[in-house]
Amino acid sequence: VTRRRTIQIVAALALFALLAWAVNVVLQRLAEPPAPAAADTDSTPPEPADVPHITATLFYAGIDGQALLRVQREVPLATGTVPQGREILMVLMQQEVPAPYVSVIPPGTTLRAFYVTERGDAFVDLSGEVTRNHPGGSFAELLTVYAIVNSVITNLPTVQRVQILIDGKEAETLAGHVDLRRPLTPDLSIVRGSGAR
Amino acid sequence: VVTRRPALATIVIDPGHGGEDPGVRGAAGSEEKRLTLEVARRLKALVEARLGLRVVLTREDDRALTVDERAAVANNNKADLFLSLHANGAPGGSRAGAEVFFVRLDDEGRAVRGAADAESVVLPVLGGASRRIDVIRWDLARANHVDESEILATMIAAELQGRVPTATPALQSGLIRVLMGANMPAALVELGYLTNEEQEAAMQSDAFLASAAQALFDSIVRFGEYLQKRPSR
Repeated sequence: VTRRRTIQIVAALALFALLAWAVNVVLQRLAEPPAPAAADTDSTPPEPADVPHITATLFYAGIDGQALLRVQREVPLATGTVPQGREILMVLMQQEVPAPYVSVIPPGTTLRAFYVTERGDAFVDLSGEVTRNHPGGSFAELLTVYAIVNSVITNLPTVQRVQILIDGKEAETLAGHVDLRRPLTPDLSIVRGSGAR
Repeated sequence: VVTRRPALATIVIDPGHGGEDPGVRGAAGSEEKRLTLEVARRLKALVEARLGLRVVLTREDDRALTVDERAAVANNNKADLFLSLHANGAPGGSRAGAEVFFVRLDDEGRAVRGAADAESVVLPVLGGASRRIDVIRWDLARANHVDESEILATMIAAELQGRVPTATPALQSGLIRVLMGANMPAALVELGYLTNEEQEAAMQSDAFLASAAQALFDSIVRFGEYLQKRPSR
């Protein structure tokens, strides 16, 4: 009886130890932070479709070059007016534009800076290529200037006016015609479908 | 006997671009700076010979001028009319035709014009009369002449139609820098599109150059008649 009793006690202790180990393991797992979701996936960057986008109204010339046209394009979503304005301008400056539209931003032009004052004046600082590579002509210059001004103001409701800077400085004109010395308001007279053209 | 000063005594013609700035270049190699100088010379000869007016070109040869230097030539010569001549460009190559621009005032320009009207100074002159002097920033002098500039531009657009190809619409407004500082009625004439191959070829012809110069001459005559009939200020 004593031997039998001893075996029962050992078995009970072993069962208790097993239970204690199991509870300990469960408690440890509960206390650990969750493993990263991507830990078991490859490290390739997410597809563009996975990045949140907004649909922005940007301004391009038609294939005939007669006027600016409103074009709906996907622009990466950003938090805040200034980051979103940068994203809008970066897309506007891409030379690859879906047919049948034509970019009116001279090739090679880059965005140096974008900021907005408390008064709602936005400053678009462009690289010198916007002047050096511009084809010239009053009409072509109006298309370039108002593609930028209209695109910013149409998509950023807090912006009232836009001033274009070149290489960080105030500029007289892009190519000798349109006055850039002050912030500009949108001009829809050169936009097809706005009543003027 | 008091003789009234003629409404048009001095005209300044501005051949756009020049020097290292060729302006628009056509596919066949035509340069805006050469075309504008050629038309300006023809127009100067017409006005001097047939109207006997004093005509000053902002540049007589192939040299670069800033936009302020061009307006300064007009202001320093006390010109009664300022014409800036250009050739146009557009993406795609299909847009064609002459266009005439006058200055559209932005919010600041409208405010300046209102302030100038309100703050003009009346000074006594010999004989007991008085003369109104407008107080206005030099670079916004244009604000005083915006209405007459629109009339001038409308007349030029009308005279160009039927003489040379014109765009639709031929009359345009905008914040045109070279016109902003000119303290007299002023317009910018885009004679045609050098980016349109067919038009580039036509614009080199003697027929085009003569027709353009004649249309501009006739619009100057019409504007002079309008100024003569206008009640004196």
